[in-house]
Amino acid sequence: MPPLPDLANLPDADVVLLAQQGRDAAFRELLRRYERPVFSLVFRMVRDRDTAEDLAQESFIKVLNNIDRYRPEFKFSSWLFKIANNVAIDHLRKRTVDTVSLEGSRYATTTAEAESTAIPVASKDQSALEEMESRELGGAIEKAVAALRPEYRACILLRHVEDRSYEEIAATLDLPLGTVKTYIHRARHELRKALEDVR
Amino acid sequence: MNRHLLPDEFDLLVDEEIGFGVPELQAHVKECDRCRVELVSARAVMAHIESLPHLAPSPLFTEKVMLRVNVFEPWHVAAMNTARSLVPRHRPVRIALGVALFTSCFTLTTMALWIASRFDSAVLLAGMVYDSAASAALGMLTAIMGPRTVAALQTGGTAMALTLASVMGVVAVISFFGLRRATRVIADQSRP
Repeated sequence: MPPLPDLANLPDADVVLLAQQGRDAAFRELLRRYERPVFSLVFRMVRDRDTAEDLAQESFIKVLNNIDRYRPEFKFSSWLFKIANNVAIDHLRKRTVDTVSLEGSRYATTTAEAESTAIPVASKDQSALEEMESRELGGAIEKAVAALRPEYRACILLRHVEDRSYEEIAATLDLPLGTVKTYIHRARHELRKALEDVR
Repeated sequence: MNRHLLPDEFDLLVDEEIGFGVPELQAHVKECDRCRVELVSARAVMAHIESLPHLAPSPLFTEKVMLRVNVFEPWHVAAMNTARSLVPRHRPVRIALGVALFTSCFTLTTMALWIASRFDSAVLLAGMVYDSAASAALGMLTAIMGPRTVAALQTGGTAMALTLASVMGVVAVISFFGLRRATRVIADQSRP
């Protein structure tokens, strides 16, 4: 087998090509690149860590086991987010969803259990006060996002967290461009209303 | 512009669009306090959403996924890799091998073309080869079976030839199974 190039510097399309050739390291590189974005999207859709982890895994397994069917005219990330969103929406349709704090599962009965189910976020240097305020605001934003309709939530997360264009969101969610614009507009309006007291 | 901005127009400014009509909207926002406040508020909310961090799954996430992913090498890739592994690593050896391959291919092609262009010569050559092979085989048979048997075979025709071939086949099968059996017995006896 020829030696692998430096995968970290390759564009997605090239890494996918190597994965299609059966290179284990290429599969792992795709996972490394997208595990956090996909898990974040799914978690913010379903609001439960364990469920989000299972659904994110399911999404990756579906995508990676069908990597030979990937068509390079689409962005790999759009395909992956599409699968992840569909998996999350299917799950939401099957059951009603509880809200969960970033500090841990609401079903936790001990501090250790709560800590073990808490969501680790990328750490930044902050003073204790800033961190507390940030957590308070972050929690309010998470709650406001969680209160949106799933369709609005997917659109707003893809637009503002994943920095996708309207066209990409439309392709990812299989929605007309006009519908995406409407959903994002309504989501922004609802978020502004929900966050008025916090800001 | 003598009216406040519409919701869609706010979206254009929040998305920092630069298309047709946007400069007029921006000019209006500079003059209108109400629209400016609303735009600042909308931008602040979006900035908060954009600051949401990516969340990390459990450390074993990758391994759990990889356990259920079928990583396999397609046949055409395997064939290419095998072909690549046969190519020498050193450049001079590669060049020498390439030259040898090219020369062989060129010679064979030239010979094939020559034979094709002289078909009658090829037929004559093939006939000569066939005659030599037939007389050699006949000589060998005569040496093994004797001149009388060979003469009888030549006069007896197809029936005689088939009978002889069947007898030889039976002898060959019996010899094969006999040898195999003998080998097994020897192997069993030599076992501790």
